[in-house]
Amino acid sequence: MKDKQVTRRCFLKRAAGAAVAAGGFPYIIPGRALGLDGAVAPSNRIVMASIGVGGQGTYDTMALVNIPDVQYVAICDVDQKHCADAAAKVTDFYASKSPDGKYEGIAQYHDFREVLARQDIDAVMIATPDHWHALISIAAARAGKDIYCEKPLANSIPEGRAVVDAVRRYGRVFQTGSHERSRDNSRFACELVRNGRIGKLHTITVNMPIQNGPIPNQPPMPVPPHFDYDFWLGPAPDAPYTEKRCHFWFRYILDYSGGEITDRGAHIMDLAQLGNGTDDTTPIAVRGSGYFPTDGLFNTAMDYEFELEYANGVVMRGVCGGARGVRFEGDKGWVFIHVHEGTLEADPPSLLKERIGPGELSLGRSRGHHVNFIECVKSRRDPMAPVEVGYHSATICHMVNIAMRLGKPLRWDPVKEQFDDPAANRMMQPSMRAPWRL
Amino acid sequence: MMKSKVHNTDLVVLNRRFRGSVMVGLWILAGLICYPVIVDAQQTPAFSGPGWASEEDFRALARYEFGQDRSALARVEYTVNQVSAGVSGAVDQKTLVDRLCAVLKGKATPDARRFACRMLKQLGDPRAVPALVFSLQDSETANTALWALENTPGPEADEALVKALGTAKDRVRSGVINALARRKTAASAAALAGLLKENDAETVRLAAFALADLGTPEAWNALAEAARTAEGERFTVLEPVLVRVADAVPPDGFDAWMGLLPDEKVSPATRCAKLSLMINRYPDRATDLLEAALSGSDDILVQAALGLIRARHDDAATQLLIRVARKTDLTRHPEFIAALADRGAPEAREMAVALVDSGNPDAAVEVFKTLEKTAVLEDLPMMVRQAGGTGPVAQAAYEAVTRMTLNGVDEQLGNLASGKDAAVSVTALKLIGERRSVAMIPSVVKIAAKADPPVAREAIRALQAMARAEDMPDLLDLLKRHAEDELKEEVIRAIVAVCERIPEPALRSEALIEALKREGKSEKPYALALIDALSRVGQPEGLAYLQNALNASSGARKEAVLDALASWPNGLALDILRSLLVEGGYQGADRDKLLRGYARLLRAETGEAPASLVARYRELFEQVAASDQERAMLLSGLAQVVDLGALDLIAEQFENAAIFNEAANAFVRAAKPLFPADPEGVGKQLKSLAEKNIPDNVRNQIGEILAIADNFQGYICAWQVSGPYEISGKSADDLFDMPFPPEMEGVEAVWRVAPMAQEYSRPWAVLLDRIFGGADRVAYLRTHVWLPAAMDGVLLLGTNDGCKVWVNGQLVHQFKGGRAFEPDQDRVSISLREGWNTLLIAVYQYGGAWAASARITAPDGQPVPGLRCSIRPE
Repeated sequence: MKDKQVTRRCFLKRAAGAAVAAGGFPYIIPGRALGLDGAVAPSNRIVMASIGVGGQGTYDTMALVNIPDVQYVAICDVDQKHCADAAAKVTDFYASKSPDGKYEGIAQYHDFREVLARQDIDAVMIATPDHWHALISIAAARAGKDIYCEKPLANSIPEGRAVVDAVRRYGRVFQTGSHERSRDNSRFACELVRNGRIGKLHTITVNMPIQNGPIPNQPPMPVPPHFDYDFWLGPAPDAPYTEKRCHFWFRYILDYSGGEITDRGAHIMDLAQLGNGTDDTTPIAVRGSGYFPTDGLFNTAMDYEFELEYANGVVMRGVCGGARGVRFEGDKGWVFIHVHEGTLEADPPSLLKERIGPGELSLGRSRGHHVNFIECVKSRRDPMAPVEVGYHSATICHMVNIAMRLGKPLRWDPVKEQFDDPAANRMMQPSMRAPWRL
Repeated sequence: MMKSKVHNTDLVVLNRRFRGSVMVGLWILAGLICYPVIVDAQQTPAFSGPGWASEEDFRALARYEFGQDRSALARVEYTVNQVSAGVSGAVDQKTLVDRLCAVLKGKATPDARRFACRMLKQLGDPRAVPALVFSLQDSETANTALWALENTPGPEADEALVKALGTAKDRVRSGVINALARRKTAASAAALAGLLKENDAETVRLAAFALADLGTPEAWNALAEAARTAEGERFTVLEPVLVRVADAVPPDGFDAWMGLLPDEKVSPATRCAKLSLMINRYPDRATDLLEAALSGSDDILVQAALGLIRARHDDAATQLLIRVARKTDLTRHPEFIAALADRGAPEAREMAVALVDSGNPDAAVEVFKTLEKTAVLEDLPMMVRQAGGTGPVAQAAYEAVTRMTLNGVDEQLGNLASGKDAAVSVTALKLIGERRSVAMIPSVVKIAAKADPPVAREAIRALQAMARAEDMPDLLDLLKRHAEDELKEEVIRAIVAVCERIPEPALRSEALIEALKREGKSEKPYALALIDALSRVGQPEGLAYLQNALNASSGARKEAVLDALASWPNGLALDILRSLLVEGGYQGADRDKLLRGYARLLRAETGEAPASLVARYRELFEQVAASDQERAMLLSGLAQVVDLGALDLIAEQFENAAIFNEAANAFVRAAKPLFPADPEGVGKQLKSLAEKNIPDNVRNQIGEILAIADNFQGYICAWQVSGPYEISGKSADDLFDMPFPPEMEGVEAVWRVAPMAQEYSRPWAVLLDRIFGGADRVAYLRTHVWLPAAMDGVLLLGTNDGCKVWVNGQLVHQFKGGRAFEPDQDRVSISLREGWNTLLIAVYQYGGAWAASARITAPDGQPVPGLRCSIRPE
């Protein structure tokens, strides 16, 4: 395999080149440098760039582009095709608003460090494969950018901790892409739980997605010319290229993700945390078992069951299948959130017609996950899914995967962030291919 | 000892909370409990995994190239995980390490050697160090060998890495630096310090971070020295390292360390980090530091300071914010108001009110977030006026009033609701409803009775949101008052909402029935509206009342009762509607409304067995339907019934040319879920339909349905299902030992076709959780298997959770306990006779997912020639 090392040195050379190449785009003064004077003039908007623009990244990008307070200036992806496609969409959007129907303000980048080096950019959206989330988020925080990063927050527990530390150290606003938190219904259901409307909460059941596949073993393939595969791998181990390793499918391979548990499952776990009132911590014990395909390219758990025990006595049971969502069960009733649909069920059904009164705990409402991020960039509040929330939710997912892979019950210390088991702690540690490191 | 204690604790939790554990296999594996598992010798535990690796698996590993069968690797990985978790098995750790090292040192493929390195990382065994060092020399394996070395405890790995630092090049050297950092190998400090002088920025960065991670005085001195002399890019590279290590620097060296990061030299982001570091180190100076940052002109520092101040909850921080906010143009910096709003500081009110008309929507939104906690009653009219608008500012105002806890808010809202400004009244009433201000109900009732329609409507809606059973007399009065005007519908909705809030279902219709009794046989609008409301409540008491009332009514009252029955919201009215349709002798418009109401309920989720539904439809087709339009309507509902009888009934309508296309469409819709249950029979019917003159879309759908069979992969898809069976208070474990009708001789069970192909990737899995859901119950699956000759075979079974299996009435297999679904997880030897055999499986649901799959093979795993399955044996 060609050892195409991307060094800081060559980065600096390329950054200069990129600036020349992108000479046609207007230099936007960062919104924060100007203050906000009422109207959302172009120079007062939050200046943004996207890093990682596959399916989800393009969706996030367009959601942000559509917010009047946002001005996009750059798109970055190691797949030139993705980069060009997303840049074209953003350009088309702005062109449609332009009097002459033209727009040339979107620069395209290959290396995220070039984007982060731009002083005019206030915030970045990160939707790379999971194994890049932490490294880019940390680099963005160190560069003084506010961050919207897709879930799961990181591909391992220590990576997540490092993201939290960097975001807080550098005083950045960070929104995890756990957008189910921004649904009114989800928040209402959690308010019902937190305000005792179902009595004392004792059990949470999360119905998780069943994973696609397995798929057969895949042949090695030539790397497409528009794709920098070595950069895509980044901190992940050397591995021959095959189409179904990358882009959408990465989520089913443990080197880059944690399967459905960390993928769509992260949304469900995240709401369980919100309803349980444990956003600031993690469970104290985990056990689980799963069916990991023994052949074929994918190796994340397809079907699984697990249990997590919290210090507050609540137990979370996770199972594959059933109506996807989270059910909170108390001694006086239950409420179920259909995740991705946002609908609710409850017993008694009248719970759903109740209102959270003045003086009761309110979890607030969001005008949309992306809008909420931009609002918080301006107000400097923590958004709906701040970095610690994303970290703890992702940590739970990783705990489950580790317990299932080791096939044994584990105790977890939420303060020390360590298992009681050396093998589990070894498995928890990320290994990164040089030169990448936390 | 610790481990044992933990497990016992877990077990208590498990048994107390979950009755039967879904993790029984794990406990068995751990050997910690003696679980009463009733299984045969072939039973595998829950998620047994791929099994322990054999010597042949290691040989296969050595030959492995990407793209080939990796099942041997899966077994090796499983073995490594088990051994590293301390589970005793077919191989001990030393043997495992030796075998993996042999892969590294032999002629294994690069893919195999990389895999072996990763396994050694998980084992972390110092005995592997020589082989890993050997692998460091090879560019194909160097990266993964480094991972193993950095995770291997002991001096051997340290020595190997320090030595490698002097010899490795390029990316491998970068990896060595990182590995030494992770291990905090103090002996590498001098060598790493030397690297700080190199010209390659990446090397300097990694060496600097490594020194930071070592955390020794020697390492810090080297970093400090490098920082003092660095300029330009070299300094930029060191900035984040200096920030990272600052927290760990001894107190007496902290100021000097900060001196390495002068404001004029560092990036804006580093200035933010410095602020948080300084506050951490000198908490007593936090207020001064924050005030200086907030008052300065460095916008990114202001942002960071605001973030930091949010984490402080002391009064000094609040006073600081107020001081700074008073000197700041809040129109341009609403984030200050946001920070004050979150703290609920009363002083913020005055500043917030001044910003209401600032013209900056961000500022206005923050104003109302502030006023939620700080407003006084005199602010309320302004807030209500704002809340009556549209957009984010109005929404913020609305939410603020909704959440306000200030005493007197409800009364003030009541005053506003009674005022002369209709727009304000409407908004105030919305807010009263939103706040569930029950103390205001009497006032709201008065408004609902006397105000102009727009205001009265909102008052009634507020009552809909908050009125209680004791308010029913007032609501009935309102209904009497508005029974003939445009507000009747609103009042009925409010009455129904109140009825639904009554906890005891049997009492929900009581007030309405009493009111109707008081009206006698009145045909006045009020009485008719009561009938309408009674039907919407949908309780059996109301249904019985209306059924009796029908016979004793005439004219408009009778029409109202018929309307009420025809629009009944649930299946309770099925039999009454049928009876009225078939035996009632109704004609014209009355008959039409009854037919439509009946057809609507047949399509609703009534829980009625499919065969019974088909019988109802047949009766409608044969005795009631009077036009092709009505038959077409019925076909649409019939297509939703998953039963072979429905298919036959639809097929009978092919004879009617006027509705042939509708029948063809309905047939393919009905056939899709039924095809797996009877591929031969349904397939034959579909092919027969395809020979007729049918629309293209129907023909395409037929092709798609027939293609489903290609994905069955040898699994049985022809299933009938019976159940779910449950007994209140009994767990799935309890049910396991109890017989239910499908397994009881001489007792008839109700069977229905099990819908298949619910999931694209596993069309052959019976997903009982989607069919039934629930927990602590059992469902039975039944199929008939035909063989050309008697044979001994193997049943490969997967179930979530427990199961029992009968072949031709003989119990052949059982598994008690919870487990996740894994296809073919149980292997059961069975004997089958020539001709038709009956296979019956009970699948127990402990909770969560609930699924099953089964297939039959010859003992050698090959397909059985001539085997076919159907839910209807010939």
